[in-house]
Amino acid sequence: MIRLSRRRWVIITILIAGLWSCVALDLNPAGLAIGAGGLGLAGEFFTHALHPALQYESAVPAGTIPILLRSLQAAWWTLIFATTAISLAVAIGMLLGFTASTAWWSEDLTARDTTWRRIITAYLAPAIYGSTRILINLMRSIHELLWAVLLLAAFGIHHMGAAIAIAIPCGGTLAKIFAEMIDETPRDAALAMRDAGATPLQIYFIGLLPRALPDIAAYTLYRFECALRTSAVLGFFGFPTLGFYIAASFENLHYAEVWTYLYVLFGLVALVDWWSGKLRRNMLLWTQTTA
Amino acid sequence: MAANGARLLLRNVSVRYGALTALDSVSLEVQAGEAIALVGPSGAGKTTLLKLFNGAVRPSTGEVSVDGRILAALSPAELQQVRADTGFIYQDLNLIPNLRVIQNIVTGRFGRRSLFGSAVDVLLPSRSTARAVYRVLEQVGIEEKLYLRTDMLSGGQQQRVAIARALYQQPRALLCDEPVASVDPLRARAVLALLKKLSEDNGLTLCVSLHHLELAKEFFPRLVAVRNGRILFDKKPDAITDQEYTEIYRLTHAAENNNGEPENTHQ
Repeated sequence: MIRLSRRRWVIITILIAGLWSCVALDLNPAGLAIGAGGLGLAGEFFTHALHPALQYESAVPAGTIPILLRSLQAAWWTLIFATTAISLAVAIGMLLGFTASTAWWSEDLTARDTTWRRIITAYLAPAIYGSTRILINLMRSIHELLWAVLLLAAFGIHHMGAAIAIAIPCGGTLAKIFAEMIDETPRDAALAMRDAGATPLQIYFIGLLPRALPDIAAYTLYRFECALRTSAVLGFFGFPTLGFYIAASFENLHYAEVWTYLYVLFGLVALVDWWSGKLRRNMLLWTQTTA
Repeated sequence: MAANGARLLLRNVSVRYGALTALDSVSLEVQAGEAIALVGPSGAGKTTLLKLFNGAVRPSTGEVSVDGRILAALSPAELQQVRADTGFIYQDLNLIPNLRVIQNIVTGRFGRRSLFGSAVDVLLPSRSTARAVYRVLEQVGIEEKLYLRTDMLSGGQQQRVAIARALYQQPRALLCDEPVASVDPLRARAVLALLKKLSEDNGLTLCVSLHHLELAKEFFPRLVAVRNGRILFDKKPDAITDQEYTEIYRLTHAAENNNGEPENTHQ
């Protein structure tokens, strides 16, 4: 009974918060009505979806590469930024995921208490664990685009800046998820290793990590898709990814060109989605071979 | 080869988990190279007793020693050596399902390997390592499974992998927790005969927990009956009286009807 009424309180609180935020934002259904001009613009934009540009909509300087080739080139750059970013993020994730997990310093109470062990289990390990958690949350709480703004201010339009801007929050998220996956891995084989005299590091890297690896890889692929979308959007800041050309064509009201780039982006995302889905299915097969 | 075995000793050992008493002032001595069976109903404290000998369970009071070294007085590194010398075969095997048989078996010797050495053993086992693992698998009769994924094997084969892992460890004592609990009677005899032969061949001290008194009598020269965390008797099989025999059986049924005590308490 107590639990039920507490749940009811939570629901009521959420409803009140939702209503209050609508009032605070001055939202009312009338605001959804679109002015005639806006409707016309939207209509014009969406009708172009059926006729993406195969050529530039206005005259371009001689020697400019054709739009289809340019969109593929932009897709290629989008892929490169995303791949660089995810590679960095995996390195960050593995490193911080290790220090953010509790598996490497789990207590073993049977032996004599030595000063060293007391220092490690009572102070050092919790301090490392806690500060890593704080660092991870800082990395994750700032969005990729904000990191991009900060790094642009610091380094200018440098390719590494874009990759790092994606890699920081992505690496933080990977670290958090990796740590949780490893901490949730069944400890039975790890215990067997401990009982045979293995050290915590041996247990972590051989008893736990390989077992969590299929899940870790599947999640990383999912994050790669996210990195790809962010990489495209970073073009808005001037990096040569699809976003750059989408923004430029949009500003010139070349909607057909916008659609060309958008279709290439859809294609790219769909391709990566198909490929990573296939990899994930294979990994699932690895983990479920027991007939 | 009996000199190779470890001497195991419990002196007035009690183990309590909160209000629950798993073992109540138990004393037991197992000579080097001796083979004993711990019998009794499930929940009697057999698993806890076995786990004292490799430091997986810490006694609440009393003393556990292996070859005269009191475990509670050892440093973590010294305890690690004792553990490296003690093989344990778990009731639920505790193998890593998505690794290959050879990879699971090499983990047995991690107590004697560096982090780098153990990573090499798992990722790029040398020819001599592979040969050593093959020889251990030959002893349990599944050498052709060397490179198969562990979860591709049948339950019986996986149990042999667990036994092989403990053998590869080159222990001086082998502790087996209900090795035949989930095995049909024919295979149960084969497994017990194998454990007996392997420990005799290698001169190991062998402690096996069993709830089948009949099997224990058939294979072991010394039976230690555990009931409610205490030792009920400690005898040769032919010295067990009918009364003691029925008492164990009666208790087995009683305990199975109210299986309340957690036997598999990991620490």
